Amino acid sequence: MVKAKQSQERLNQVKALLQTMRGQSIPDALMQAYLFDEKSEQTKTVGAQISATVTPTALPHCIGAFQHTDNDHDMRGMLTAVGWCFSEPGFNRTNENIWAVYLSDASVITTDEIERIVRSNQKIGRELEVPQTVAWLITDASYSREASARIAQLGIHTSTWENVIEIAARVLNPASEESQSATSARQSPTIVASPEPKITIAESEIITETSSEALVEKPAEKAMDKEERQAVVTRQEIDTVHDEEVLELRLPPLEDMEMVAAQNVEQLAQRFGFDSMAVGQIKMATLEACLNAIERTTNSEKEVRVLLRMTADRLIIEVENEGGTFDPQHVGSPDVAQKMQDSYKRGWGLKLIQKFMDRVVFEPYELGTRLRMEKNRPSKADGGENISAVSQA
Amino acid sequence: MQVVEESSYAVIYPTGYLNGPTGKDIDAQCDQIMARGMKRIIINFREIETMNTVGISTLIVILEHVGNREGVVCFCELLPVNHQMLEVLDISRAVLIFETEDQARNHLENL
Repeated sequence: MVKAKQSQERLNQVKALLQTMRGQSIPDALMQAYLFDEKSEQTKTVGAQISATVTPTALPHCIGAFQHTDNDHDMRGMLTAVGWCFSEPGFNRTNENIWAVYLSDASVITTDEIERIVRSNQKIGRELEVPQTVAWLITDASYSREASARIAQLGIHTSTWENVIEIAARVLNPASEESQSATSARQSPTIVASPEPKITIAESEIITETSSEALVEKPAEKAMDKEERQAVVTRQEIDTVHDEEVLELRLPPLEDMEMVAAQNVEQLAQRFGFDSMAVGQIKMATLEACLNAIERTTNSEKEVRVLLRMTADRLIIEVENEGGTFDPQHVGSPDVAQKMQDSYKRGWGLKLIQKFMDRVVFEPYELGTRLRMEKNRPSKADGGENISAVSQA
Repeated sequence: MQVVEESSYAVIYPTGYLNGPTGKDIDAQCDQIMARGMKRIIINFREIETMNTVGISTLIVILEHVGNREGVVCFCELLPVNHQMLEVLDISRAVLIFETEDQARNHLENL
């Protein structure tokens, strides 16, 4: 029981670490633990053959991480975290990839474990419809010769838990002499050059309150002007209590950021059984809500917060923006004939949201405005083909 | 975006995300087509996966501009959810929407 709790805590820390990855560079030795397995005579030989210079590995740009639950008996004994990543900033489909992180409590990693990881990676890629997947195995186990060969062949990243702590330290504190010298003393061969990783501090809270060995500290807020700011989107899986799945996004108020929220909610809605038309409606309503919120956020340092919650009977989407207020009572219902005559052609978003969602509520809160939209979860008896009737709060 | 001109009409194929800038590009294409004397335009939306209402507003601008020059514009091959967007906003009242490009071509050829 204690071991299971520790494993879950470590998985939470790994999820938090994934969400701080913004393309930083780390010594690749930190992800090649199988080459430095001190318990294995065979790998000592392999380790000695490595070149004295270690090239840096670039971490991905991760915009969200969650625990992946595979009820398949095949993955027993291995906790899995999934990071939704891009190899370059910019959210381009061509450089989209999934990092699947496997925590194993085995004492020896054999080819059986490796093949299970391969199958799981393929399955995750199919489920999330992302063709490129990267596997990262975190374990303090030793590796069989055959497993080592297979890992090298497949390019699977491998780290000990100590490596993971080192990676976290480097990601958050690139100039730390202590972290660099600690690495040099431990690893063989000697790391000759490690370029200082570029750090983008994620402006988010890392929720690992149960962890007694926190890898990632709450980052200090750093002021960035618009030119320096990357389109950083942080995504957190907050809670899965009370049969609810909750996902939070924080969007910088930049152009086309509403598409990120729309894509996230599209995936969530698909996962929870909404048909294609309902998924499209939910996606469009979310996109419009976020677009409006982004436009009302006049301060470029403020973020738009999007909360996605799936309860037993409905999908709830809340969009909050600071600094701007919105009163739907002052927005009339647009008419196309009238708009053809008007110089101002816009004003369609609220009507669209009201048409596509089952419940729509605007409420002010202490910092600005919150829009709450709900879509009833399809029942098995319901084909889900209906355009839900509008009820405006 | 691709534009194909036939003898009496042109077909525009916008791509990507229909937002304000994309909509303005389509409007500019329509202007150029009409400046060359062609007054019948089909906009084929098969490559538009997502549209926002700012983009839809620019479609209204296009309808107005083309109408002011006594032209005709019709839409075709909208994804189901995009077609539904135009319907729930009643914009489908202001423009002919066809399921296929062939249907749109037949319509314009018979005008």
